[in-house]
Amino acid sequence: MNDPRGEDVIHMPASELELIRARQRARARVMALLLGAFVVLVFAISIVKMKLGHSG
Amino acid sequence: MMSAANANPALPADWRDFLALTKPRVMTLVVFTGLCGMLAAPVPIHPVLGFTAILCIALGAGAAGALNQWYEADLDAKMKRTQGRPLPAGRMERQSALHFGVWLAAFSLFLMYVAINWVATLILAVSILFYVFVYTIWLKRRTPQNIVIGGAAGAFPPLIGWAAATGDVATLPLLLFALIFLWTPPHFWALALFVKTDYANAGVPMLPVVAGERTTRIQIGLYTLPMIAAAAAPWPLGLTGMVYGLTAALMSGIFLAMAVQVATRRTAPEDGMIPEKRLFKFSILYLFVLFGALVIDRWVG
Repeated sequence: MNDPRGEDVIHMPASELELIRARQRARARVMALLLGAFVVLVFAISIVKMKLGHSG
Repeated sequence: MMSAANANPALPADWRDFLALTKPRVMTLVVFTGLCGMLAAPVPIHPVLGFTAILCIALGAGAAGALNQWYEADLDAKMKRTQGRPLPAGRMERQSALHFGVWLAAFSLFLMYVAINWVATLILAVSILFYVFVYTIWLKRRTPQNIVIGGAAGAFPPLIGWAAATGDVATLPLLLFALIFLWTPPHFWALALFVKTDYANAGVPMLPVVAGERTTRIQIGLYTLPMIAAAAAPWPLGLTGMVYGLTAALMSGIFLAMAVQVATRRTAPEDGMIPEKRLFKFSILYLFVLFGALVIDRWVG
């Protein structure tokens, strides 16, 4: 197991382990959404800056 | 102390708790005043860049809120109003809040600098540092003037919004800064009057705790006068039109009437503190309406 808290996790009841995994999944999903939004934002900013650069 | 909610240290904090660290309700007013400062500027800003600037203001405010909660976890645990927050409730480790706040602040400044301009970035940086170091760490636990001076931290957003659009600072955004700065004491002292016990239990030297209710009530009345002057000034100075001027006059009149009522009354036994609660709620509406009128005034003009 690659988990830095491996020892705690191994001795944990299945329900708690499931809760941890659910939290990790939810956080990963939110992070993926935020990163995706950031990529779109940077793309949009770049396009706008280029347009403003040409018109200015 | 860890509560039962997070007895297991391996349990990672929920993403909603990170969101709660940013004080989303406080952020609403910050974002709104920043947006209005931007829309009131004489130079239009491209919608994408405008959105980015407001996002940076929101992220910067969120970062400041997270760092505030990181530093004040012990105080928050002692107050009813705040003991449900992620840190005092034991749903998150303090170090996570610190890392989140620092990275969010750095990210907001980086994005503001890359996408907008250095003036807006500088003012955003000053506002974050002011809120964390001057208000939270230095003043809050030491002096009843904490929210008087600390109020400046919440007054920066219209300046940032204006600077994002124009690249500089002018008289109107400075007056908007003064308005929020002078609005903060009556707003917070009205709140402090009806949550006085909470602040006293936590050892926070808010004015009603240190100087008593009578002094606080008088101070609310006194601070309302320069606040109204700052709210009214843009119209006679020719910086806004009649829509803003008349709205400011009407709303300031109501604010003054409520403040006078709070300033001149005494707390009775079993007092429900209704005028204080009403002033606190109205003070929030006051800022929303005034800043909204400023933008409408620009559009009408």
